[in-house]
Amino acid sequence: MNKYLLFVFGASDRLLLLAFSLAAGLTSVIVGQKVLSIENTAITVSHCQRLNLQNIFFLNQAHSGAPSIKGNNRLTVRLPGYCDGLLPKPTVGTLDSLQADPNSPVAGEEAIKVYSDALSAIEDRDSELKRNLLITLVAFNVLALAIESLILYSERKNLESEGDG
Amino acid sequence: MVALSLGTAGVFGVNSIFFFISQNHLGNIASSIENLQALDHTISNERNEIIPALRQGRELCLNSFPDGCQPYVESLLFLRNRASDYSAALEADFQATERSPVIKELTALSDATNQIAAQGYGLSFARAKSLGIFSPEAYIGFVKGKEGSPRAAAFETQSTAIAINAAKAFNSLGDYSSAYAKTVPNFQATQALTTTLYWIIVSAEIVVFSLVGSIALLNTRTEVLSKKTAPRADSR
Repeated sequence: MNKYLLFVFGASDRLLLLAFSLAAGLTSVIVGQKVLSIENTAITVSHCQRLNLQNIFFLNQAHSGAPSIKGNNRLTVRLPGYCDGLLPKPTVGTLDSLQADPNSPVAGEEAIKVYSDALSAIEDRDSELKRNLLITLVAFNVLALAIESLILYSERKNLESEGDG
Repeated sequence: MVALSLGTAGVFGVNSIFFFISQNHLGNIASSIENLQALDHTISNERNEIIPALRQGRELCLNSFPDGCQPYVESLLFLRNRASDYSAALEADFQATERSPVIKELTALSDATNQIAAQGYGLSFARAKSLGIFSPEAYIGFVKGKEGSPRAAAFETQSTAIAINAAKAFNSLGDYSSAYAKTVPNFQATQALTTTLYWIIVSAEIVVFSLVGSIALLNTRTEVLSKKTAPRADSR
């Protein structure tokens, strides 16, 4: 076994192993940065979800409130542009058409449903992606450490062989 | 190469601090925007509810004083509670102080509700609270039982201006909200800054990692080459 390992991890192979270890480490770094990027987007997604939630309360109040505000559900349900920027283009198109339709009595309700579904879909997608990336990050970290341990093993064997020589 | 990697690590470290601050700032701006939207929605809904309710309640109350006053007392109590809620919210989340004109206006409105109650029904809301009277039903029941207390003429005089003052207070709240909205930093600009800092961090980390990796590879290569050439030197 030792003979086999020594054959595999000769001096020049150590260079190759180090390159693999570094590549695995670099992959971990990139994956970690992607997770950070998702977290950064999550701030905006949560913010937009909270704004939409307030619109839901607003519309509920409007529907149960004074006649002067009943049915007035088209005013503030559109979220800021940076929220629209998170959504897929067809969803933004749907929202635009809802806003443009003056005959739809439930445009506001439809819009908050569209926002709610789209933002939840983004949150779910990002959450799943983050989970997978974190597993990948751990896997590449372990891989880098495993290769590093082989390099260390090879170095120890080299030192022992130099000592015997 | 070592100096370069240390320099890039320094850039990474400094940018990490700025990134952290920028991210927190972004969260704070998001909260401010949410608070503003909540305030605007509440003002919009309540302005349209409370003012007609006060006017209609007053008519009912004057037509059948004090038996028909329960809806008016309900509206008055609602207005009083909301005035104090708005004051608390403005002081907590919108940097208003006791000296702010809008807070003074809300306090005056709250005092006016108390004055209507005290002079029209002979029992102020503050006193009613201390007597353990919390609901409009219990309040009307109590003032009716108190002989000679409800005074229709005093009520009519005192209650004339409250709906107008309430409308003015809601306008002031709207103005305050609009003025405050102008002081909130731009979300998109801060988001763009955070993204830029993020990319600097990413680049710096990758550069540092690549530099350190290159140093390690070069060192190992030198070590390998020196070991390969050493036996040849011995053989000569």
